[in-house]
Amino acid sequence: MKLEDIEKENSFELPEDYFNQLESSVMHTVHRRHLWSRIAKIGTPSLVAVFLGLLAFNLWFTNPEQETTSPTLAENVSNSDAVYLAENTLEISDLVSDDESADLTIDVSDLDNSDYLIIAYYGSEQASMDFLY
Amino acid sequence: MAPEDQKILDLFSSDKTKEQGFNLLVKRYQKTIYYNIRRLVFCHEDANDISQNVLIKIWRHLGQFRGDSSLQTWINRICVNESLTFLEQKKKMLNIIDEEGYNDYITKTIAEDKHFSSDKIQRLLQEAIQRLPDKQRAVFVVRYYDETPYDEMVKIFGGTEGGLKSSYHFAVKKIEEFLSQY
Repeated sequence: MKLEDIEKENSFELPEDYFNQLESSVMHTVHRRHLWSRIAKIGTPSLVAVFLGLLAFNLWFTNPEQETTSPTLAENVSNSDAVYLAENTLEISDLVSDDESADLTIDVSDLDNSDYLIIAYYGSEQASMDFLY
Repeated sequence: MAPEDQKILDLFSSDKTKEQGFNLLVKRYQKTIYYNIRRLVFCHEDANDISQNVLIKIWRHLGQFRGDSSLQTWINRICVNESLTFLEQKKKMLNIIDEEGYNDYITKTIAEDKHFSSDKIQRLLQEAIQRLPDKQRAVFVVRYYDETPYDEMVKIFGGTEGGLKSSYHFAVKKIEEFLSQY
């Protein structure tokens, strides 16, 4: 028997509505993948930025050099704003020795948190402070 | 390139219309993909799994299509490669080590397949096709059913036109020998 004598016919049967189901199934998968890839595309730079931000913060927070830049000795602050701020900041008010002059001496030897001095520093634009490290 | 294929590629190249372009491709090629695979693996369930894999693969790689061949040839190459890989894995899974064992399996599969209904001669033709070595069957199917020119077939299978002609010739001979027994 010759092959050319046989009629070319499609003898394969298919479940009803098969190609619509195939299309729907593939498009569903593809849609999900596309959505995730777009989210990843948009999200990745943001995630990288957040990650780098956290990393920078962490480095800054744990940097041992910070301690050496913090004031650890008594400071002389010659500014009325700084005097006012220091006297009215509850946490450090009892460290202030007021000698009725414009000069203020704050003994920080017992002060753990130097943030209050930084507040005083930034609160007084014209403060001239000799930080001793 | 066919205008429909160009439209598919244009839509696919933009992120906003990518899915629309791919949907056009699915509508245009899903029957070709399915039937080409079905002729290679015979069983509907297997053809269904491979067709889905092929379409997902097309989705992932269509952006890399450079137009060296027609879109249909490029798709056919994916179909053939996926089917041949599947058949190899299936034979390993079924622990079929020799040709005789595979032929017995084919005869049984065709006899029991509920998605195949035809007269005796078509059933015998399918059995003869399935008994061909995998790559020779792929060459036969692409040439006989799709009537793909040999220069396009080189882009699917590699090798030379002469080699593919010879492979097709031997496939036809084997099929006719098988059919002559009945």
